[in-house]
Amino acid sequence: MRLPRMIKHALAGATLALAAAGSASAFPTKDITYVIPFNAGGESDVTARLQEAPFKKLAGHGFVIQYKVGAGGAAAWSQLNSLPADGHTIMGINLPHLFLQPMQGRVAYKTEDITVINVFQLTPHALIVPADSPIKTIEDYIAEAKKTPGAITVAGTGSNSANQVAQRSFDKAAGITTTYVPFTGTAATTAALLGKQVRAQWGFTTVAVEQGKNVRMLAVALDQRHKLFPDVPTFKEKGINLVGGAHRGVAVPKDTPEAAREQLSGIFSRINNDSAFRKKMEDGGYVLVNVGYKQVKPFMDGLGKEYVEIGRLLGLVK
Amino acid sequence: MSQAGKADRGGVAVALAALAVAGYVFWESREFSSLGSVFPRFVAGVLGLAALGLLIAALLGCERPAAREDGSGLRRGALAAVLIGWVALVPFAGFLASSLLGFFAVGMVARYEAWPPRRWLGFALATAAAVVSLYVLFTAALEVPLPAGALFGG
Amino acid sequence: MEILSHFVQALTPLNVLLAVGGIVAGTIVGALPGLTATMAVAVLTPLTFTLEPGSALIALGAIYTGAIYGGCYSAILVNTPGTPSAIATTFDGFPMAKRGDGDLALTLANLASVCGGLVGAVALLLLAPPLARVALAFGPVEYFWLAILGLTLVAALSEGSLLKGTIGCGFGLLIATVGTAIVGGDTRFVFGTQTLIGGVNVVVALIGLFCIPVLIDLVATPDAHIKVNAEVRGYRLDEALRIGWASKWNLMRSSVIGTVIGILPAAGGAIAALIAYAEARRASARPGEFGKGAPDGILASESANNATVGGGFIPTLTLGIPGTPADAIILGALLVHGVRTGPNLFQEQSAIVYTFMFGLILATVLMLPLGLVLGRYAYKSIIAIPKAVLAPGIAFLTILGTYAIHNSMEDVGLMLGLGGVGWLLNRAGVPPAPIVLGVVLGPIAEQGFVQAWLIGSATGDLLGMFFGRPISLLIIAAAALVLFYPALARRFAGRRTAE
Repeated sequence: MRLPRMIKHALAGATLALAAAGSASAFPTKDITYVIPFNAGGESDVTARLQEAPFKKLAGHGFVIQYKVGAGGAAAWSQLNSLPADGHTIMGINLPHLFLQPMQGRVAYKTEDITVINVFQLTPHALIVPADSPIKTIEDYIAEAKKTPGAITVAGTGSNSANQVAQRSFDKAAGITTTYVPFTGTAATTAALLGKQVRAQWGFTTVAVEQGKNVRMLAVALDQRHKLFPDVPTFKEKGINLVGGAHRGVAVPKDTPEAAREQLSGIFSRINNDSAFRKKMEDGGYVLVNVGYKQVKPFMDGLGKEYVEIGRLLGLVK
Repeated sequence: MSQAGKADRGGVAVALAALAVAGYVFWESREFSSLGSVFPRFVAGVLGLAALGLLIAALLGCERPAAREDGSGLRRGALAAVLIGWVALVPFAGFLASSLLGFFAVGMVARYEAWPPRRWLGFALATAAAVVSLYVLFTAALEVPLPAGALFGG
Repeated sequence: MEILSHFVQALTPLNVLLAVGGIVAGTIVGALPGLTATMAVAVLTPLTFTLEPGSALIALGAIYTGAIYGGCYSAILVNTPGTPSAIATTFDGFPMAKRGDGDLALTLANLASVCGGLVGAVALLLLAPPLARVALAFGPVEYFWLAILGLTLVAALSEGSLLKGTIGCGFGLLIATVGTAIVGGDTRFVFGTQTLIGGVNVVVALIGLFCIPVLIDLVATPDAHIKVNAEVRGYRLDEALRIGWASKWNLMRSSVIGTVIGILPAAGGAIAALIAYAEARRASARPGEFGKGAPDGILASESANNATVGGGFIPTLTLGIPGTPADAIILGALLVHGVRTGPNLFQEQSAIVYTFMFGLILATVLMLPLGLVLGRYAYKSIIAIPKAVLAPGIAFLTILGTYAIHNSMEDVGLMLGLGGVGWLLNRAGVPPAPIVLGVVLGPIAEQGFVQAWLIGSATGDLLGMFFGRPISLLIIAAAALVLFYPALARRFAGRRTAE
């Protein structure tokens, strides 16, 4: 039963390689199945929907978007390698999820099982307070937390998630203690902040863009200030080494032929240069990054090392 | 049919099962963080108390047994077997083929009268029409990737 | 009047056509168990990308409204909620259908859905900004007490034995804790499997616990699935209108409850309908009839769940915080259309917003005739189809619907397993309703409690956190009323007759 499938894959690979040698536009030959491991309407879904138009322009074929939701993405990723590997199936990925979930030990995939081919965007960590909060700056926040350790409540989405990573890393760097209160989904988290159920929120720049005048961002986790928020400092400027956030990209089943991987990755890199797409993403608070096929491995290895440290901080790695 | 005063054996079984579940929850939750264990433990506590209450009430005969259902136990068992077989067949025969078989088999379990040949034909047509049309609706219109089998249509 | 010009804009032939199509498509998808309103919106969203933003929103709003309504068909006719919002509709809907009043139940559900939908949509049109504050005033502790209020329904749903009902509810609450915990991050009760890490989906539990026992008993006897009265009685609209008018307070109360709970980002149609049902039962002069086919039960549940549609759009449009998962998808679709939601939407894009609101009202009104016709058709099909086709048809839809939730065969196995356990428990006197109540309310109760605990400990005022907030106190009072009102009322009634 396994054999025919393998032969099929091999054939698919051969035709693809031939096609790639012949003309670049011969691949893809049909719509690409794009599996989203999160709910419709989330960041991954919106990104995929916005990528579809430029993808069609560049590749001549569109997406068939499927949702495989469950276990914070693990339900989809643990099945990635059993999907058809002819280059016409891709899956959205999210970092730090791919690093942190296997550390917790109960999911059926390992970080290195996932063949990431392109990482195209980042939502940087941001520390956010309500607009009328007495906490005006990052210094106020640290001073307040030092006055009564643990008294500042800060909301975030999920446990052992990107938001909690930011909270733990920041608190350690600043030498403070705060109380992290996890919520389900960004909507509930943001509602808790706006309703002043908590004092602050660890979120992403996208939240600050959506909420506009209702909130104030104390700092962003970027190397340079964010274009949309020229007045908001980076954590680095304030002497705290917190740069990062949640990265998104795509992966393919591990048997996908080399030529197809490279071509797909190339298309996603070129989508990032599409000016209409760029504008929509940047207006939404996303930061586009270009980690093409050749750079993926060093990028993942570098991040992987950082997350081993963070895993220790969260108590996931002994 | 049960008379008043007859022991509620179902109730005793439920109470014992609930006690076992509550015990298991306490046992497994030892390894949880305090945030993760407080709610399951509280529920298990309430569950355990209710189970003890039910056990005592049922043994004393205060608890009214549930009314017995009439009908054919054989057909109930057959339906369960068919449904399990149907689902177990999917990885081998694929969704479409196993559903055609499963649909037909459940129809047999639910058939009570003798059928002339014309009704057999009608039933076969109805099976094919219902399964194929819903299969097409889900795969084509709703874009649900229904599983293919290892034997057919891999 | 500027607002009226928006109304005229909403009434273009294309928009009316989209509203009709959206209602019909939504109702059909909603009626199929497993395919929820959220999924209907998700699947049909890409089709609207070619439309103008205003028209696309009308289509999506109509699909969503239709899907929430459509859930009542399978709830009434097959005892299986087509969407979680219709859970409370099964309590009285199926008993009515069984005794031969299925046609009346469907017409009542239609009237109630239109009524609730209109209340929600009008609240959205007129009161959106002030009502959005409700979403923000609700903190973790309020969610916790709301879940407790919902759990008081166990007493009503236990069918005779409170102890057994409590045990069922405990099972349900524990099922809800399976998987990776949001709060704390522990992986709980997965028995070493991969399938359970993501938890037990509510819809999987619903289908298993409600539908499989019905199926098992369906094949056991040659009797008809539901009783049919020989005479043809049409829609029974007059009768339904009379019942609806007599229960106008119930309808209004349930619609308001639905609107308010719809506004809360972490609640939803299922919880709104359950709470409205509990309140309707408490306020009823004949609470004993609830669960045995009381029209008031259907009216409460169906008006409340459709009111959540308009209610859910209030925080979605005014705050950029989706009130329900389906709203989140619509919000995403708006982003793709280039409409920026959030606090500035009303000022910057008022034309689109008002076109949408009137479109939603239009769709809700259209649901009256369309729903009646579709409901009639569903009823006739269920009675006309012989058992040898009906049983496999239901079985096939259960398997298909369960698979489609996560595209997973493991979920189908889980559904069958839960169905078998549910059937056994039912045989022993533990009905499925309290179990499902626990599954639906468990996550809210747990997260609300632990979050409130964390915040209360951090601020050093745990007691004030749980018992010192005005909205909490109101909900606690309501829960106490639901629990003790019947006993008190009997007391008072007894004293009055004694005098």
